[in-house]
Amino acid sequence: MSFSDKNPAIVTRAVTLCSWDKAVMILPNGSLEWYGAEGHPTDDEINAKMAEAEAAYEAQASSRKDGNGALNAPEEAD
Amino acid sequence: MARSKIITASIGDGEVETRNLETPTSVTLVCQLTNADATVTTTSTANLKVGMTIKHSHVTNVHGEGSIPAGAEILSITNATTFEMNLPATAAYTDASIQFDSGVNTNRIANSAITTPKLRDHDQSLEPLWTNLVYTGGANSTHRLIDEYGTRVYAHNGNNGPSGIARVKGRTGHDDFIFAWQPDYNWGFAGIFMTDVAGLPNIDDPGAYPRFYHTNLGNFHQYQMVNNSSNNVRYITHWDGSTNNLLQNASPGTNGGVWYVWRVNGLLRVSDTVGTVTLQASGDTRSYVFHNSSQSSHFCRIKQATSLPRQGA
Repeated sequence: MSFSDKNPAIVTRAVTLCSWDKAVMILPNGSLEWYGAEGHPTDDEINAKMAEAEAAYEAQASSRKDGNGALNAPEEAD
Repeated sequence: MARSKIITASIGDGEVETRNLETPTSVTLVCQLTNADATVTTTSTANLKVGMTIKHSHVTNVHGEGSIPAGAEILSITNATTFEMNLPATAAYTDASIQFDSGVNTNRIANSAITTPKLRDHDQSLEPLWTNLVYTGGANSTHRLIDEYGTRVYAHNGNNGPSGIARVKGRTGHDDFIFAWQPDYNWGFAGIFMTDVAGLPNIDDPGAYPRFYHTNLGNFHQYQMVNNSSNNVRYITHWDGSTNNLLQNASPGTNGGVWYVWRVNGLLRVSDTVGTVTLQASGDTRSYVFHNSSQSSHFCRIKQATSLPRQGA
């Protein structure tokens, strides 16, 4: 499964919904880099959470002046 | 022979050899010019030659600005104190400081032709400054990303949120160097990538260098040296031209410590404040460039960036 066309912040939210709070990155080939960590969620588990993650991302982005829907993004000063 | 005599000759490939190029020379003289007149008077024409380019000198005090037209050359030398330009002067001066150049000079090089690899070694040396910023993760001009007078790249914009990748000005060169940085201790991986400049198609193009590790590098080498709190690790990898090798994945991460990588006489090592890892035991002469790991949330603060001659200490 390739995540190359996905928003990294949304994928990260989906990963977090799978109860994984460590760093993850989308590599240019579309696979996920876990930096050697074991026990991370599978691609299918992440994909199953994508719709929920995107909704949460959009809800946060639309409520903020900076449009940032990334998880744990601090509110920008006015 | 007048310059206009040969008009149809062609030169075969490889026929113009380096040894046959005219040795560049520069002469600065105080000249007297008359407006709309191509005749110039100076103290001595002994060091002047037909074909020399003419421009205002910034070597000495600039007098006579605006008197030399663009494209001016020496057309002929009349006597010991007088010569003719190919174009008339555009203003009158009695003490214009004029520079005469022969051989390959700046007048014969296009403005965009001087790329970073063509600069003198000293001008390519490392400097503690983040440059060539490229937005990632949807960042835009509302995100500052670089602060502390250009020495820190910073993106606390959520997990894998808007960020940026920048390059440290200069390159290590092939001799010794020291580069020190303070990586953040946050959710995103913070730190640097150190890449063999030979593997980068055009380091003047911010979009050309890899934005992630071990990509588009072919046979060239790259090191990733980063720190992270979510994984609580100090993480070092080496793309050796064909394989990505994990050199270190150790806990805990460093919270505020200053890492540094250095090379002495071909020995390349990195300190992550906890320990030292040998990246190459001997014979390393690659010239490296540095760019930051760009995963928000992160910052990377440059503490030192120094290119050095090979000193063997």
